[in-house]
Amino acid sequence: MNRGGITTSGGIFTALVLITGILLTGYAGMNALDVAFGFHMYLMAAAAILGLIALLMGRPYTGDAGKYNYGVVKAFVIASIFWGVTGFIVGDYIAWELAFPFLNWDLPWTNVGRLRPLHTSAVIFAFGGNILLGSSFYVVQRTCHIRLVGNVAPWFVFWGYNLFIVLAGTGYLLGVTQSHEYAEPEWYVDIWLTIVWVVYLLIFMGTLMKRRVSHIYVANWFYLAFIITIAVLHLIHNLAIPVSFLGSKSYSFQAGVQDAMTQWWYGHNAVGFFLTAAFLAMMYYFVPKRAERPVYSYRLSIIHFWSLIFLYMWAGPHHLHYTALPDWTQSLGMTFSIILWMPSWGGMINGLMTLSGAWDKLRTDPVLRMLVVSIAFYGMSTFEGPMMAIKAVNALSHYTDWTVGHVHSGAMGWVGMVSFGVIYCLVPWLWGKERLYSMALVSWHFWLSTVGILLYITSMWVSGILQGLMWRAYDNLGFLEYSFVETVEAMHPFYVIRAMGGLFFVLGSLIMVYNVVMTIRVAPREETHSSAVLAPAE
Amino acid sequence: MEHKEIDHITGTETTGHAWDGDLKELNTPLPIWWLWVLWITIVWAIGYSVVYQHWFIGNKVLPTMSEWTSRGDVHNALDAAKAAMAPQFAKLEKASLDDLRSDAALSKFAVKAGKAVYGDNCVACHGTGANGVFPGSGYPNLTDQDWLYGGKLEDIVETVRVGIRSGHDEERTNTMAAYGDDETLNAEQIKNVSGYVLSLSGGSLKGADLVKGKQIYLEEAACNACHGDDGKGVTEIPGAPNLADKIWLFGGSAEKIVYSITHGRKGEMPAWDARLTPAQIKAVAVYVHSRGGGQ
Repeated sequence: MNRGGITTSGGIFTALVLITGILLTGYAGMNALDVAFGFHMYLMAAAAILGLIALLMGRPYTGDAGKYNYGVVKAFVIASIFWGVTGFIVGDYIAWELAFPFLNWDLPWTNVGRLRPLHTSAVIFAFGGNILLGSSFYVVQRTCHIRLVGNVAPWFVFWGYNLFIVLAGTGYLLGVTQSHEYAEPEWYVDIWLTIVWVVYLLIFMGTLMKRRVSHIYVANWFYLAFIITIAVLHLIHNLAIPVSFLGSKSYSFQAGVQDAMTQWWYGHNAVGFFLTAAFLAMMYYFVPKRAERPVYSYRLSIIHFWSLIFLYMWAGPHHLHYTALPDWTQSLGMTFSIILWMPSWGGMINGLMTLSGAWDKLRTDPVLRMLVVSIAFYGMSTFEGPMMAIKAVNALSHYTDWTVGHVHSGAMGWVGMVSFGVIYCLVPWLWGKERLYSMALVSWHFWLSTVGILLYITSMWVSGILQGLMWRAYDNLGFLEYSFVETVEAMHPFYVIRAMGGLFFVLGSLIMVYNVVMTIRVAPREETHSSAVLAPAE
Repeated sequence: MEHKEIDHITGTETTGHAWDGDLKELNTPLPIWWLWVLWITIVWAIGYSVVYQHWFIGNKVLPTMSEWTSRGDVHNALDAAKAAMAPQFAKLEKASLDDLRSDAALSKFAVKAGKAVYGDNCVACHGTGANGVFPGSGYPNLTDQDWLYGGKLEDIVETVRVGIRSGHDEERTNTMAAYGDDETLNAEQIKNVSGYVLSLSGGSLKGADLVKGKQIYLEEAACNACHGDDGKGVTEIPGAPNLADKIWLFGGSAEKIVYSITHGRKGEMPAWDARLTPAQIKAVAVYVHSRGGGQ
């Protein structure tokens, strides 16, 4: 390993890129047309300067010298926990704001319109993204039996991705948005993410290509599908023309119903490939590892992988039922969503049935319990999704809180719980600890989260269905029974219950923070290094 | 090392691959129910598209088996609702306000129609029950007996039609002067007269201050010109509130009254004649009138 500084080709290349970046962003910052853009340019310049200093000090080379590169994985895990807690707190705060609107304090920065994208991006891209990138770097090394390629590049991806998150988050609060849901950051942040993502793809592909086993493990198929598809979605959905290269505003390449269709082609595949395929990749490694059982069915994993990948692409139009979108496109979205039901459940079956012969472990291992409950929530929301895509059901559910409940059963129940399980697995493994600091605290986290999620989704079911029925209620003379304001008033008790559920979820995550910190600081070190025991047969 | 061992718990063969030490896969066949449901959903999807969508062969577009379209669905529902209400609306269009007073069935229809109009247009300021959003917010409670521009059906129709300080050619308006801003009264005088105003509805002002306040009310500021000697208003001057009934449009604390006298008050309500049909205006007036405060 090179410990001499930046004298590798990767180091020299990165230094040149950083110097160019400092010059470009410095110039743009000095000539910025709006305050937010100037602020962001100086932020990027400062990040590039810090990166250059770290590089000159040789930091990327002095990290983990073991068989595998764990340093960058550790950083991703910590970032994921940090952003997760932040995102949960912001989410719960806006839940209280919706119940008690005075909590926005009449300030532009704290209203729901700006805090909501901060919440969604923080939980999806910052919490979810960091654990996905981190776990993919861990899993690809362990299942290819080789160290991650590159020394500088993985750290570039870590800092670059988190810089993207800071740019996106501060942008929302300052009112910078291109008004595309789940893709709010403006053109310059999109370009930055593209650069980071391509480097990520190269590292992942490079490691796969150098693998020392002949077969590629199933988790890696899912990770690779995620990386490639997100790149395609990001590039096409964010095609836009900046008003000026020195200002934050841009206009989308498309308009009207084409724009809406592209939005939901992107939006639904962000669910499909970011929140489903990639988290299934985590499941495929961590569930069999934790249960110490083989994956249930290799054949099912192949069939459900390819059917899932093929079908998800077409399901997006179900977000636009009863709109200006042509009927045939709506029908296409609906029918593909129905067919998607079984391919989605393939992952659930493979996850749950992997436990056959190990069900007794659920009693003793709360981490495994989290992983299993996450799969149950996955199964529930991937049944609910196709059902809500049926036009007749959608006519009732669309634009109501039912949609919000559905999203959160997937996001908190599936994505959240599986991530917590993976974090609890990874922390002792990465830091070489015998076990977690406290299993009792994991149990507390499990129950607080589960109760919180159930409060959240049941209140949103009641609220959403009530809302939908009130909107369509007619009296015997043919007039609408309720005004819109009356339906909003009726939501209040459910909003309070939802916010309580969110609070439970936040408390659980704070317990996790404590447990992780204590595991790293005081849990006993592992006596016999597990990687020696688990050393692959090459 | 492709060594296909048999998993001793399930009795199923593995694929013989192994990763990261102990990571293996069973070669279990696809669950048969899973495969069946997958095929059924595919067949259903094809069937659905044949029934509801146009298929084509080359350039030839095939007919659909149903005439269903999402747009048509909405239009049909709206048309049916409109047709069902048409006779009643036609009657309401022609009816005079006296007809509405005498025809119970029509009046009932007007209340329902008015509630719908009210719900879409009025609730934001006057609240869902027409009883004001917050007391003292400047948006009047429509269920009490206190009317600035009259509480008869005719008055309400006119107010809805032209609005208050709305910019409409026939708008309803009058002026509550800003006695402090105009320097007609000084701070001491405003305090005295506001104390006197409060005393009209049972306030505690007594003695010399009361005499001073009353003198300002009747002479220096001439409040009685609009609000009457007893504070109960002057019939000929609409828009000047009764000050003796404990109903306060802009708040009844000493502080709020001092503010009203110092800066004046100019509440606004939009004119609705451009947005609502005459029948809808009639209907909403009947609804408001029916809420308990009508005269």
